[in-house]
Amino acid sequence: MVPTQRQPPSTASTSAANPASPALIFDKAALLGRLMDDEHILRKVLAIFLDHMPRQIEDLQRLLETGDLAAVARQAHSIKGAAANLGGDSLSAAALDAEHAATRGDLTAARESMAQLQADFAQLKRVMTEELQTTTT
Amino acid sequence: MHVLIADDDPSSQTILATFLTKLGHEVVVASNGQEALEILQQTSPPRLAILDWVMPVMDGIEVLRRIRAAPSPRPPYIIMLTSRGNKADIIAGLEAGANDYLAKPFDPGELRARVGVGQRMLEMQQHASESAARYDQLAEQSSTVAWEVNADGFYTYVSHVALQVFGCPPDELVGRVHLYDQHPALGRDAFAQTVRTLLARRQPFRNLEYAVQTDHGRVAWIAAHGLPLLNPDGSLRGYRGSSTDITEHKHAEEQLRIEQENLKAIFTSSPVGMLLLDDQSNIVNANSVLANMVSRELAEILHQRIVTGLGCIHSLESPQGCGVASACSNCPLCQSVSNVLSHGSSVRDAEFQPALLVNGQPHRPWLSISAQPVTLHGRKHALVAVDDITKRKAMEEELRAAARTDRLTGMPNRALFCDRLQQAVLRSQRQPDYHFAVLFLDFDRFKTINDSLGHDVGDLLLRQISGRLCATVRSGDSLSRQAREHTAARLGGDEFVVLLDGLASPGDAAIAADRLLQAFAQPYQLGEHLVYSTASIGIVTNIMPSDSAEDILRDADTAMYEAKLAGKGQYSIFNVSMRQRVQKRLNLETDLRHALQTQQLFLMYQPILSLQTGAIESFEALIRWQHPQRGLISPVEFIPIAEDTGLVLPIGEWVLRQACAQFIQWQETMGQAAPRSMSVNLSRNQLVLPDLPNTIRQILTETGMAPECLHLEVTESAVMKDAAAATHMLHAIKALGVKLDMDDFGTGYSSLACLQEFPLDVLKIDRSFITNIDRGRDFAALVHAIIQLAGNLNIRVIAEGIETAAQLLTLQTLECDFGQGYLFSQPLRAADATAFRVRPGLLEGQSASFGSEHAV
Repeated sequence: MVPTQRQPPSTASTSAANPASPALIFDKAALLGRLMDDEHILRKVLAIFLDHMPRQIEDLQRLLETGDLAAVARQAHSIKGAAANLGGDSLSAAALDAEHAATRGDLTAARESMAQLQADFAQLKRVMTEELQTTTT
Repeated sequence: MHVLIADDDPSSQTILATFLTKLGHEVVVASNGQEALEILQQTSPPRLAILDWVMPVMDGIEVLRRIRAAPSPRPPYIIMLTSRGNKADIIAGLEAGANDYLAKPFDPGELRARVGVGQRMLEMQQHASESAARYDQLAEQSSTVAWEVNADGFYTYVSHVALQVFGCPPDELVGRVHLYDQHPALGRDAFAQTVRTLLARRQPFRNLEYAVQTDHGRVAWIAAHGLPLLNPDGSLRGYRGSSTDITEHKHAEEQLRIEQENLKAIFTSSPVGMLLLDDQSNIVNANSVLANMVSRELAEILHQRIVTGLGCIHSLESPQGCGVASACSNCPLCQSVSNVLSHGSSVRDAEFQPALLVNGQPHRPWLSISAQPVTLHGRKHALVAVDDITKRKAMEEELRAAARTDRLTGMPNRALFCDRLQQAVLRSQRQPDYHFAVLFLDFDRFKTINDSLGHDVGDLLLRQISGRLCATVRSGDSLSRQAREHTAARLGGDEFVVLLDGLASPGDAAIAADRLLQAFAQPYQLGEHLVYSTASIGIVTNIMPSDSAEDILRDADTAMYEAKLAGKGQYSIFNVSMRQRVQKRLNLETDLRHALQTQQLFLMYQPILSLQTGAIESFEALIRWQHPQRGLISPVEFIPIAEDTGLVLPIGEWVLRQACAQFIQWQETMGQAAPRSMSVNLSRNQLVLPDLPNTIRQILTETGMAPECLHLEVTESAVMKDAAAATHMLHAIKALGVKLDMDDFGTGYSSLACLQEFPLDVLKIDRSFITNIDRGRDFAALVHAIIQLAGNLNIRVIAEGIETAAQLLTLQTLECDFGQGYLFSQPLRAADATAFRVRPGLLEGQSASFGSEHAV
């Protein structure tokens, strides 16, 4: 059994109620709740997410380079929502930072949040991939 | 439920889709706003949509705005997906028409709950819209307008049916028209006041009826019901109600009311009895005329069965009545009513005699009944008119009898007699041993008695004749073998007939006739007068029958005539030769009509001589008829026909004119030898002509005849028929200057009275005296007395019918002035008359009897 989060899984479900604590990388319990505990669908959803999200992030990167702040905000917003739904709380939080920065018109801050966002996604991707490999066996 | 998920993120789509599918929904997915809009605009779109706020191509809020902008009968329930805590988005979404919102990442419990809310909301909407549709459909199909008015009475809602009911589309009413504007046909102000009062009272109302002039130009009757609508604070918001077109109902009601009033009026005012019966023959209504008919109170009749109500009993033999049956089968009254009720057939003026129990007594009035079916309150009824025609029937019977009765004597008349005779004829044709006879009676001298003693006495005589006739016919019942009743009848005048019905033998008729002759030989006491009026009887028996009653009567009449001719107080049995004689007479009558025009009539002249000198005093003109086939016909034969037919008048005039003309001619040709006068007979028919004196004067003038040379002869019987009128006429004639001769003197009853009454110049002593003058002293004495009397009255005397020298001698001895007869000459033709001379020596008694020819 490989841990899929930075903190022990036992605290995962309470993370949202404790803003001081660092966000979970992947809140599997919340996602399972939305899927009515259907592990099969969980894997399918994870696969879709892992297939789709890299392009979303690339799109965001490109938009940041063009400096179209409104488009950056929309794209960040989408990433934020998608990640939140998947239980990718840290990625969602990073996307929210980017969205806020873009909304404020702070292109620099938005660009700076990009590093955290990509780091969080990389982490999430690793956890999710593990999850997929684990459950397939 | 059919659910749309619109999210551009594939994983989010999958999560939502998975979740909702597992909840049992049917999920469709859109990846951007445009797709979502297209799906929602399909014909059968998802009922619930979960729209992500931010999507490519078109955001969720734009989809929302477009969906809400287009009106839809079934708008979708829309849940917005927003970022957690983004209040601005939530408010904007709800304002754009979102039903609910959900934050991302969604909480499964929350999503389930919010979708559940949406589902219930949609179900409620569905229910409400079905309910509304149901209501609308019902409202459109009914003839009742649903409406609402505000507190001021203005329409705020009117269902579509208003177009049919009020003739006005709803949108022309709403907001513009008062409830009480709908009312021009009755007093508008009063109606408006009624409506205002209702609104003020805030009470429900029902069946408020009013008339509406619709746009189609007709007047519609409306019945309105209304319930008050109150605001939460208790103030009146308006009324909600319905208005129904009750025009047809109203008309039907009115029609029914009119019919009922008519029926009531018919019952109370009808002069005949009226009955209304239900289908069980119960008397629903009746009038007092009917009650009186059966001597009962109206209340006793009502609600009874017809049989008990009228006391109907089907025959007098079983007065217990018809029992409990609703209609008795034997009673025509019940039967006709029953037919009306069961077959719906009408009865019109049916007349019959039902048996009724009136005041406990059987009673059989004649009733005329008309009955017809009517439908009242959906049930068959019979309306019956009953007229009591008992009196009319009795009167008809009386008239029928009267039409067959002789009013004077009460005997059967000609019509009834002919009926019975015809039956006898038919019977005799069927039964060889059946015999009948008809006796035709005519009473001698009846006309004389009637004319001289008056019609009252004549009628009295006829009644006595009737009495004797009936008594004798009855007593002659022994003649009847078959117990049939003989019939005695009066045909009219003094003509009576008897039918002897059922004789043992035809010969018995003669026995009956003899018996009648004896009965009528007795005199009658008519008041102070004692008169004789014997009967002449003609008999026809079925040995020699004609087929028709009228022919038999004719034959009997002929036989009677023969009896009369043969002498009075006799009977004569009809035979065929009589019929031939009658035919001959009829032929003669026809020929006589032509005789005048074709100059078949001519005059002969018989000289009247002075018995002393033999000089011709006068000629008596005598008529003759030279018939082309039958030769010379005696006046004895044709004068009665001329008198019967009235031909005697033109013939008489012709005779007078011809005789006068002949006299003038003789005067011109003979000079001194011409006769001194001309004698012409006047018939009794001529004497009653008021114009006779003028006619005579005219002929005298025409011919140039001197009045004093014309002797007009009248018979005693002719003038004595109506002596007063005759006296007047004779004086008028005498005033012309002509001479008057009394013919046949001595044959009447009042010969001497003539001498005093009438302005006579000459008496002609009847031949019956002259014939007997030398056969006994009495006649010669009578003639002598007449001659003496006449001489005293300065009246000259002519003796008629001198046939022998002995008669002549006696008359000469009695100093009779003039005479005529075969002794001297029979009547001569005009040419011979001029040459006539008395045979020399005749007046001196030198010749024997001239002959025995009858003078005419």
